[in-house]
Amino acid sequence: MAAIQALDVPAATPKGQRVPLDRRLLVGGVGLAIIVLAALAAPLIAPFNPIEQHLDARLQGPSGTYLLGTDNLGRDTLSRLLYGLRPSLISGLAAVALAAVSGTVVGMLAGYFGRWADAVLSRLLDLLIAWPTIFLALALVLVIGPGQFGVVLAIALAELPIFARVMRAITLSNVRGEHVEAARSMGASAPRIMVRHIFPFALSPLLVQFAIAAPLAVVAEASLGYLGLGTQPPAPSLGGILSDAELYLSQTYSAAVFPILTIALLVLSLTLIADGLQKMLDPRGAPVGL
Amino acid sequence: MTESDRAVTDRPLLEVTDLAVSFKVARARGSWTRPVVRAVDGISLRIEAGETLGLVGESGSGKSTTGRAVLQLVPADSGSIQLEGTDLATAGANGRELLRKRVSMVFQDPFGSLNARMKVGDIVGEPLEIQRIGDRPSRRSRVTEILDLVGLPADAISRYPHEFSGGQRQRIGIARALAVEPALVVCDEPVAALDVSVQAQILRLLKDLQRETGVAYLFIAHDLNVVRHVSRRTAVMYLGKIVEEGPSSTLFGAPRHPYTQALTSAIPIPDPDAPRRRLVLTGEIPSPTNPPSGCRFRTRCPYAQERCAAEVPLLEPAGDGVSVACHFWKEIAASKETTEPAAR
Repeated sequence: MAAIQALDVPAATPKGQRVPLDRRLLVGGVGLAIIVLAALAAPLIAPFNPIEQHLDARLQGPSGTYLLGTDNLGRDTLSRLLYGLRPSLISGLAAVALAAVSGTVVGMLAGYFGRWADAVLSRLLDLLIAWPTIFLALALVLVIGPGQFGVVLAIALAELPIFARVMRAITLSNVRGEHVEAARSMGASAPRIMVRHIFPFALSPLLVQFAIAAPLAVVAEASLGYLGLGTQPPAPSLGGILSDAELYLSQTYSAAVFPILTIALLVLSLTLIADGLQKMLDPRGAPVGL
Repeated sequence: MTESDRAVTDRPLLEVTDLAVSFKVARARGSWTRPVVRAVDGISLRIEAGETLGLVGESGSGKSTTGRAVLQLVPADSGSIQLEGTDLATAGANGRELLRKRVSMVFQDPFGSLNARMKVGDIVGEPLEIQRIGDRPSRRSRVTEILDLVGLPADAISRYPHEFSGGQRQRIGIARALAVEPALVVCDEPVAALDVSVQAQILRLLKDLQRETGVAYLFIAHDLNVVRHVSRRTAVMYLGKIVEEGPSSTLFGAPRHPYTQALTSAIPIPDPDAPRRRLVLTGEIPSPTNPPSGCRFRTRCPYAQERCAAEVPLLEPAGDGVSVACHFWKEIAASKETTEPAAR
């Protein structure tokens, strides 16, 4: 065996030059962390019960007692916002996660099996993608029924094509590759090829898509909530608080402005994260692969 | 030795008979039908255990398709592929299992053929994992052993392919192909993507491995020097058909078919004073969607006559163990003898 001499191999290269942390990612991450912590800590930091009515203190502006004012039923806006973050974050995240998983599967099957499977699945995706996300989610939630479950399902379906298309493209670019042919020549099964030899190449683009889809999902959730189709009253949600406040805008600004600011801050953080991730994981900037 | 024993030992490792493979290509504009490319059109090959059969031809001759058809990566239209006496087409799942255990492949592209997201140890161990050979620790030790055998350092096991050079990556590909201890490795242009100096190392490695493990190779290449170096017998393909087949020394030393003559006359000789007669072919290889009638080589053959357009030449024995598919190989050989002294 020694007859075949080892060639000298250069000492291990430093494990892929570390990409410096993108500033947008950092700022967005801090913003999101604050929001998530606030939502988690709501029972500890909220000054009042979010559905407790103070009928003697209705439609008040910010004050020492009610830091962000009260709504038309005298409920504390700060407390409602803190509690309202939870359904927004959970629905948004659950919807995007569901969209990512199902979209990945659909895209991989379409790209891997091609032919009629691809034709059928791609036309279905076109059908979903033809409408604006919000409009589609609205139509779907009317069919599925209002409430948090309906909202999650509707947003997931509306965002599914984003993931499916990315996964399909990456599958197509890999399925004819020699590494896949090599796996086939060893007798690897279709699921094995998809999981081991195609999916790993989609990880970073899918992560970027996830970050892009998340703020869209949050906006969609808030919009559906605003239209009264999401979390049902009296439980607070960002969209619901805003729609309650809208009628009384002429009497107090605070009940409407603060939910808007909260939604804006959340979406901004998520978008910054998406931008930062895209920059960091961009194929052209990546040291290997893709 | 009994009669049945003899039958077993006389059986070739691989016997390909009248193999044909065709592909449908994209429809042309305004056409309703998809043209069919007959990439491999009725070829027969025989590989004995432990030997190397070279398969040469230019791009589009069908040599890679032949290799892929042997591994059942592309479906054959007709013909049979027998591995150790088992017909792979009719043996179903058993045939597939036999194929995956006994035959593996080394690819041309040392970059594309290795999954960049897998560690070398996982790449080389994957065929064992798929075949469910041994348990995790025993697979690991087999991988270590095989990496050593192909001349890679032991720490390669936990590194990624991008950390290696082209030649080293090809060693990884060879290690992967040998992991299941195959009887036959289909090498599809294994050195075409490598520098000449690295080519020699990889060819030597393949030869050493053959000596140590007794593996047979179907060695597909377009570089005649490479094929001559590694294979005992060589088959020359042109447009999906074998035009000449025989022992490498005879085939390259005294080519009978005009196509083989053209190929061998193009091999550079590193001696400026050596006599040379270049037989230069004109034109390109014709489209396999619409091959010439009769002899497929006739459109580029300097000796072509009317008969060549009418009648397909069959492979026939031409002495010294060589078979040739040309109507006029005798005449061409005779004319050579008379003109040889004149050519400087």
